[in-house]
Amino acid sequence: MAAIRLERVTKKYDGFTAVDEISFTVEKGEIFGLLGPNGSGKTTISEMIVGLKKPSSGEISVVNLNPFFQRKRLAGIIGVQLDYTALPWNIKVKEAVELFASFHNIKSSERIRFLLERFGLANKKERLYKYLSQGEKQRLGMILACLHNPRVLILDEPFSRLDPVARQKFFDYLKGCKKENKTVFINTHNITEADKLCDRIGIIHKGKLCAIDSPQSLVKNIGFKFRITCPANFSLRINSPVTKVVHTAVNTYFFTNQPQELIHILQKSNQNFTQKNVDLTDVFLLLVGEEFND
Amino acid sequence: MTKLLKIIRIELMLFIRQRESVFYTLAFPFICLLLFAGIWGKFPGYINTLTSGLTGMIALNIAVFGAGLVLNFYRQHGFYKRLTISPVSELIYLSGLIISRFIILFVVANLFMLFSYAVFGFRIKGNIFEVNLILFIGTLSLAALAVFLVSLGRTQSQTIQTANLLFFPMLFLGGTFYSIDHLPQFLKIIAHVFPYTYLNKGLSNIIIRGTPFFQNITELGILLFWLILCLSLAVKRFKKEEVL
Repeated sequence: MAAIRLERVTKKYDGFTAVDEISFTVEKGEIFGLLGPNGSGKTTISEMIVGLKKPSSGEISVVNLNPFFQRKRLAGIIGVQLDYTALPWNIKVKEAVELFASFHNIKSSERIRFLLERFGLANKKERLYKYLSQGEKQRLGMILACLHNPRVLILDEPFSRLDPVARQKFFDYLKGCKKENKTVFINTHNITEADKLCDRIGIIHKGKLCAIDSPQSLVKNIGFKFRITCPANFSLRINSPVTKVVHTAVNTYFFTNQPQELIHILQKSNQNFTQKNVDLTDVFLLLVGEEFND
Repeated sequence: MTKLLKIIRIELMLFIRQRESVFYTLAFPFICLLLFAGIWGKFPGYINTLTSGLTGMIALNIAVFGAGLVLNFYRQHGFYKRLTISPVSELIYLSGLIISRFIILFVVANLFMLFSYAVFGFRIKGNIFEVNLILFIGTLSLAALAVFLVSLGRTQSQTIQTANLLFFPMLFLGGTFYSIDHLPQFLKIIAHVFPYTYLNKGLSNIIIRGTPFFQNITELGILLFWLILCLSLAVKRFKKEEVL
C-alpha cells in the first residue's frame, strides 16, 4: 500500500519549472530517499508532500489525504522536519517541545523526556533556541517531528549538520521506525547516507526524476562496472562504445566494463589514475553529469 | 483551550525575554513621563495630556514591535510555515499571540496610569473601563496596520526599517507628547492619516474631557476602518505567499 503517491506532479514559478511531471510512490514501511544536487527540486517536492505548496498540476496523496487541502488532518499523522530552522529565537528547548506536544494533545512528559534523551538534548532543555548549535537545532527539529509518533516521517536534509554520533543515533532511530512499519521519506544530497539507509532511492535532476530503484539495483543497472579517475586536465579520445567519460571541475571520470585497454594507455602516458568498482556515487555522477560537484 | 493557554504563556515568556521590547514597553513610558512631567508638569492639564499620550504610545509600541514585527519575523524565519503544517490552527496561534500582547498592554497601561496618578496626580474624567476598551480597538487597528506594512519588507533588515518608519512618524506626529493642534498645517494633514492619532484623540476625549466611549464615533469609525482594511490586506498577502 502506498503511503505517498505523486502522479505527474509539476510545480512552476513564474514560467520556471522547478518540478517537471514527477511520478513515484513510497510504500508503507519503506525508507525512501530522494537524492539530487542543490536546486534540483527536492525541497519543492517535500514542501508539496507536506502541503506547504500547491502543485501547478498533477496529484499528490499522503496516506490517502490531499496534503494541500487536508493539511491539518495530515499534520496529526505525519512528522515533518524541514531544512530551515523555524522556531522563535528566545524559546527554550523544553518550551518548544512542550508547545508542540500540546498541539498534538500529548500530555505524557515521559514521551518528551524519552525523545530529549534519545536525541541528546536532555541536558540542554533549559537552553534558548538561539544558543543551540546547528546540529542541536537539527536534533530539536527531529524531536518535534517525532513527538506524536507519526506514521510517516518527511525529513529534509536530516543529516547535514549532525556529528557522527548523533547521525548514528538518528540512523538507529529511523531503522527502528522501519521495524514499526512506519514510512520515512528523506530528502538529501548525501549519497553515502542514502545508500546506507534507504530501501529505494529516486535521483532527481533539474526537476526531473532520472532513476528510481533500490541502491543495489541502481548500481547494477547503470551499465558500467569500473570507474577510472584522472585529473581534470587529462584529455583522451576514447572511441570505445563501452566507455563513458564525465568531466567535472576537478576530475575526469572514465566509466567502463573493460578497463585493461584504458589502464594500458594511462600507464604508457605516465598519467596518475585510480580505479574502483562503480557505486551509488557513480550512478549519481553519470545521471547528473558534468554539473556534479566533486 | 490547553493549546491556547500554552501559546499565551510561551508568548508572554518570549516577550519578556526580548530586552528591547521590555525596555520600550515597560521602562520607556515611565522615563518619558518622569522627564516631560519634570520639565512641563507645572502647566495646567499637561500631566493628563502627557499620560494619555504615553498610554497611547504603549499601545503603539506593542502593536508595531510586539505584534507586527514579531509576526513578520515568524513568517521570515519559517516558524509560520511550521505552524501551517502543525495540527494547531494558525488562527489559534495568532489569537494566543494577540491575547498575550493584550495582557501586557492592559497590565502596563493601567500600572502606568496608576503611577502617574500616585506621583503626579493624573485624573481620568471618563470611565477607566472605556479607556481600556479604546486601547483594545486602537491596538488591534495599529497591529493590523503593522502586520501588513511590515510584511512588505522582504529581508529582516527591511522589516525592522519598515517597523521604525511606521513607529516614529506616528509617535511624534500622533499627539503623544503634545497636542496635534500645535503642529504646522501640512504636518496636521499627515497626522490625520495615521490611525494612531485617532487612538490618542479617543483616549484624550475619554480621559481629559470625559466623553463617553460611544460618542467617539469619528475616532472609532476610523480605527475600525483601518482595522478592516489592513486585516484584509494582511490576510490576502499571507494567503498569496502560502499558495506560492
